[in-house]
Amino acid sequence: MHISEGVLSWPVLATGAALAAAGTAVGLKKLDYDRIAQAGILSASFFVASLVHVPIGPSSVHLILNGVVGLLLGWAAVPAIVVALFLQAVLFQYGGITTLGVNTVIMAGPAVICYLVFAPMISKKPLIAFWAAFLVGFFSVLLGGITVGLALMFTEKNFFEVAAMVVAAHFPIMIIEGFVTAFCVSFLKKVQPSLLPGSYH
Amino acid sequence: MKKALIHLFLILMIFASFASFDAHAHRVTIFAWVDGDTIHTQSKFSGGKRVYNGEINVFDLDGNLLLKGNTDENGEFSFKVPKNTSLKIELIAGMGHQNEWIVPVEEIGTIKQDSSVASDQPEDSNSVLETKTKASITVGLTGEELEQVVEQAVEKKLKPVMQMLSDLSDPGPGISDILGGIGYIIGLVGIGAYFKNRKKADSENP
Repeated sequence: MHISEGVLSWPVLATGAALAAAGTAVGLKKLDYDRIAQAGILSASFFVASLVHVPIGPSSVHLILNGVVGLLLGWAAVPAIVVALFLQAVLFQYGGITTLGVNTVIMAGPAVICYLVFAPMISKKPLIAFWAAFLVGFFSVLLGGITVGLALMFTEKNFFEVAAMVVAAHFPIMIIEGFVTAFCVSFLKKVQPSLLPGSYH
Repeated sequence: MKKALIHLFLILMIFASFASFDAHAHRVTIFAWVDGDTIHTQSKFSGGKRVYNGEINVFDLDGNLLLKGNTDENGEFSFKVPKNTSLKIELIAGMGHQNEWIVPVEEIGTIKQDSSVASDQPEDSNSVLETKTKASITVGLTGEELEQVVEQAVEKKLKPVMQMLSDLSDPGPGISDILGGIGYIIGLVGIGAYFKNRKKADSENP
């Protein structure tokens, strides 16, 4: 999911950076005092999640966790993800500084969209909440893959081919993210429901 | 209901494990070394998976494209030195993954001289070898033969070392990177809390 330096043309990079900056501003505005610690913890989780490799078949995939971050933070997921991506770029050389904006849009955009769509369902009955959370995890990766395709559309052959390739490559992780998000939400629902959207405003 | 869930989960997991996916990683690396008049490159994703059919472009440092090719199933691509200059080898692995490796002119320069010797040899190497088999017991090896034999032996011995170097050139993130990153995040939380708290305190008792 991390797009490397030097792949994208500057209009794409600039658009990504502008969108990411706007999202970060909105996120910081919406992040109130009581949730700063939570944002930090989720940012740290996102930062290390990409190091957790899940072996499947001949290769392995890594967690992304943008769904969980989005669901628990809403718009504040954008600054949390920007910080984590920046540190991943500097310390792990995943992605890059110039592509930070684009990568933020790829990961945080779907997280916020999934939050807006699915958050109202999380306060419903446990079973509905479970599957809503599953869909959050699933779609936040799926939409991320489609966004990668969009970003690469201007440099590589065609949008559909690239997007299909990225989505196919990430299919296992969509399922895994779905269940991780779902179990995370049903756990929090029992233990600490105040963290979940719906119970808090 | 619970049972149904568990079944669904298992089915999905099995399905997931069959789903084919290639080229999934954070980044790609390319590693190149000079061997005689040939440059070998090896490309892989972090985690060690080889780049199959990745696009390789070789530039000189002025950005002129000298040659291009594709990696084989082992992520390898070899080519003859096209020009006696520093080379920039660029790897494009698709899905936004790209990296490059620079071969400095010194590495190529020293080799070029050797390779001129080597390229002179093929014609007479047969005859040299023939005379060698006839007369080696009595005469021993000539300087040229010796050079050739040594070169071959060294190349053979060096191959695994180069492999190791190629592996080492891509160290995963270390524990200090991870802890450092988490430390930065904690620090940012502190800064954020400080500013928000000041705002809050200001609004409470102006």
